[in-house]
Amino acid sequence: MTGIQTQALSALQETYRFIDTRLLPALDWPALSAAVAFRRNTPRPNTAVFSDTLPLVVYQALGGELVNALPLNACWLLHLLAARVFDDIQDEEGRDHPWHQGGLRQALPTGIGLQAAANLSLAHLQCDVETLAALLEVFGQATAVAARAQSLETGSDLADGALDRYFAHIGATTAEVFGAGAWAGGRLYHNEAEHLEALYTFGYNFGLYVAILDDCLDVADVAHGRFRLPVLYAASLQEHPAHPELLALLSQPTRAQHVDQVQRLLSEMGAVIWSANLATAFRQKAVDTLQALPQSVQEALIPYVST
Amino acid sequence: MTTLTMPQSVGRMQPDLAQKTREAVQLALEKGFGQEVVRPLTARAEEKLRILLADCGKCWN
Repeated sequence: MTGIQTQALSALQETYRFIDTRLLPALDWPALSAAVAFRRNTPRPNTAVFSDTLPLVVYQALGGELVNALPLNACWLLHLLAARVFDDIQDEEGRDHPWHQGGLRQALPTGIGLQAAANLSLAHLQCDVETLAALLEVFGQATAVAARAQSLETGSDLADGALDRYFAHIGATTAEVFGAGAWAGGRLYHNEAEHLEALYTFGYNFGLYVAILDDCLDVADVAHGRFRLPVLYAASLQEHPAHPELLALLSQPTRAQHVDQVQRLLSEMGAVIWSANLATAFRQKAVDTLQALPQSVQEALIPYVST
Repeated sequence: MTTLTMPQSVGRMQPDLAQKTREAVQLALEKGFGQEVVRPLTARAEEKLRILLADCGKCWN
């Protein structure tokens, strides 16, 4: 494990310790504790661990002490977990997740409770009132933008403009959220507008990178009629010999039974590798953005997105 | 009578998400969306991407 991975894991463990000792006991709500424990104990890929610690790592990169940003990172993590619960509800997925054990009656209040816990966490921050207001605003805005985009998503979209709608969707549901997370980590440390904007753009492009990689790894979304970047790219290759077969499979109501065939065609058409390559172009944009920040901050954050 | 005024924003200027979407689409087009990639990746570059995807799918905690 690299130094940056160790640092991210340590930051994550400290955040969970804060949630366990400072937030959950006062709420005395087993369903919330079960949801948090589930996220903590479920093995997560490296990009997800980095994502869970984004505000804290940014704050530390600027020179802040970990302990001062734990309430901010706990807020961030609980918002992400709440979003996961609401995603499951909307997509009718995750039946084995603890918040679904009592059906919607359990899942809905659990999601709301997690959002409430996220807000409560900010009450533990040691900061001035302007900073607190700015943090509440940035998280409130990002949550509203993401929720609105979730309400607008249409299924099986290969019509004209599908690429624009795809980027508008991941921009609102992931990139804007990551931009807000990086900005928040910076805002807790200082209020220098130019540097904060660079941190926002860094987070935004890192979010695009994470979202596209996620779409490369989970082609199973095709079964639910959600066509992500690899599918959009392959569907755009109208001259490719495999194009007619792909479109025929995607248009079938029974496409859930053909996910493996779609996966094979995407591979054959080079769609997953093309999409992963585009993801790395956004990662490079994230790195380039850091040039507006002091050398020490660049050196601390670049490994974070390059691992 | 006192009039309460709320600032439009207490922190960050709201980003132009439509503009950001256009920039992302533009990059995708520059990278060959809609066309079979004219300049294919080198074998080494492709291998690096495969390793990246494998690593992202891996869990290390």
